[in-house]
Amino acid sequence: MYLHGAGLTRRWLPFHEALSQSVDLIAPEHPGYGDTPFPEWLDNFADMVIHYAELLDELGLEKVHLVGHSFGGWIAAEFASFYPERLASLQLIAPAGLKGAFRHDIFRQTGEEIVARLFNGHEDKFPDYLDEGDQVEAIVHNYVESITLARLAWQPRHDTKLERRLARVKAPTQIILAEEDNVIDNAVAARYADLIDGAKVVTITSPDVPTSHLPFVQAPEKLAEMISTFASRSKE
Amino acid sequence: MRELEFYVCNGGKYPYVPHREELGKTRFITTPSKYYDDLRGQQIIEDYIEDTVFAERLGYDGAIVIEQHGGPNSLVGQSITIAATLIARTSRMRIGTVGALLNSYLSPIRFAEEIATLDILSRGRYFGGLPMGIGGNYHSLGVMNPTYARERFREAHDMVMAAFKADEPFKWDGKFFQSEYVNLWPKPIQKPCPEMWVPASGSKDSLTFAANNGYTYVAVLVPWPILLKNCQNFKQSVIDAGQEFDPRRIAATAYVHVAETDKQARREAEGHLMSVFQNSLGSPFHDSFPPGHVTPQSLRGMAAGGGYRSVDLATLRFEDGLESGQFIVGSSDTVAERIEEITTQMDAGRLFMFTDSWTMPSWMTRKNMTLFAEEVMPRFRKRDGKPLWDKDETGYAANTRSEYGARVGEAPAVATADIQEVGRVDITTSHIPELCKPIK
Repeated sequence: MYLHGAGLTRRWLPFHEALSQSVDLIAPEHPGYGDTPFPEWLDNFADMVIHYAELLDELGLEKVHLVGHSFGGWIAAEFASFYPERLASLQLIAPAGLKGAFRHDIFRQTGEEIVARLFNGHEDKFPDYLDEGDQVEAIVHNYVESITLARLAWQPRHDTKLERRLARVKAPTQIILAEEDNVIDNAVAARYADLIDGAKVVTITSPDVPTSHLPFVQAPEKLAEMISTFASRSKE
Repeated sequence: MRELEFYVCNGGKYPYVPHREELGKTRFITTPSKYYDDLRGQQIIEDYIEDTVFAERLGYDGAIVIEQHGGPNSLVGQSITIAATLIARTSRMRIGTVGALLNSYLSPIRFAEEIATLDILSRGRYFGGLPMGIGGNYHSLGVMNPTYARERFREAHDMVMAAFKADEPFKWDGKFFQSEYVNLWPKPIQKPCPEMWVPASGSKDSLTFAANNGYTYVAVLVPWPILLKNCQNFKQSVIDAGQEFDPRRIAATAYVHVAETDKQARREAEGHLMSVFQNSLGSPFHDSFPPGHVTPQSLRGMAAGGGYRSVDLATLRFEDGLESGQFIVGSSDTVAERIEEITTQMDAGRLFMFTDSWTMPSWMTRKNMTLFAEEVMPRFRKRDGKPLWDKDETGYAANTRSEYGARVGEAPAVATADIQEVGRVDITTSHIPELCKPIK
């Protein structure tokens, strides 16, 4: 199960396609993201975590290999601390969730700043990711998604309880960092490996354009392979 | 002319900060306080108090203190505290606050206590306000998640009103607030509570809230056609709620500046008013609208153009401000005509007027306030230019400048003197170049 970050919803990316070649991929949209309506009951991460536990129940899955990117990495870490027994493995890509993770105020960014920080100035090489269709609808849609993010992460912008709870995670864990992440502080994200027993930190690289906060943009196949390899080794 | 009530609201802004373009996005929320100067700050706050107190002598019906936080836009943004001072320094004029921000309290009962205390201190001259708070407040005050803004505000409001009305302690079990014992002491003089003013940008929801509860709608910061539609919607909501509509339920807001001539008024006000647009109101989208601060429907309207703040205010010209009615600037005739026109179209019975354009020096503010009181206000008043709080019989002396203006009539002779290269001039206006002409 792959939990997306705070954006780029409503689309099947080349990364999804690549990952689905080697694993049975479940890629849900979070409540309040993409085409999934924001539910009135959603107040905090516990609600989000229980939502995903219910989804797995619904699908009849006791255990999954859980992967989360950025905000989705935070949700995955929360899930792991609540339901450690339901993880076959855990992989967090440029995850938020720990104190000081965000390098900028995520609620005070202009559209241009967001693009610059996500693509490190190489956005012209990846036009497909920037085409959001109708301008007005895109503005409204992104604002609605920001409401979901703020509902959970306005204040504080980390989970004060997470550090202690992560000791409950026993599944094989890998933290995947980008080469040049302008959204998440790599040093903070790497701390997950200090808090989860046996976790390791790897960096996903790309030969052409160095990987950014969105490593699946620069290195979709390589990232997919890295994830599926780790998951399959964790079966043993 | 319509009958109107006049409420002074000065800005008390600290202007000695770099222009917005130099400060960038930090201006509203994180303007470094290194620019704050103790001596200047003290003077601005004291001038603000003195100028507002002066409004009573001039005959304004009341004064309003607005709420501001986290930046130079106002040094008097703690509306409750400032109102307490104004109440102590005045005796008859109404004093109101469009604040505090209910959402900034951990317990709304604290707000209720403050309202009740101000009402008692003022002996019933106080009126309150229920602003939701601008977007920047949610970024900086640190106690409010904007995604709950409306919901939490409404619950706080209901809790406060329940406390005003209750005669026994009661239990409150809400989503945001829980208390085993809500027990309000002291209680306000005005029953069940002072009048409340609600600033609203125009969402149907806010207008209905103000209408249903019998509150005054303060029409703020929206383009003219939308403002008129809001007023119509508000009136309709009042009628739908089974109440009779009274124009005093709508307060028009404007930056008002009067001088001897249209030209002179513009000379005096333009810089200050352009600073309002450029340095005070304009702010980036993410500061004005943190997540949840507007509904997606309202945002769609804005994004498509024509809605609330669809234009960056910092790009507006002086003429845009005049056209939209935000600026009312000119001679007393021009200003009176414009006020008549705007309040008639809005069917507003009150004018909430910024008389210092937020940054004017005290002497200029007082000049404006005085000319307005003497030459404009009486035209909108029936009882010898008296404010609503002056119930006295008309005596030989005028109690206020407005009464003076209404009663004074033409002078027995023109006050004159000879000026080099011009001749004999009317010395009451000879300091204005276009009026400095020989008299016949």
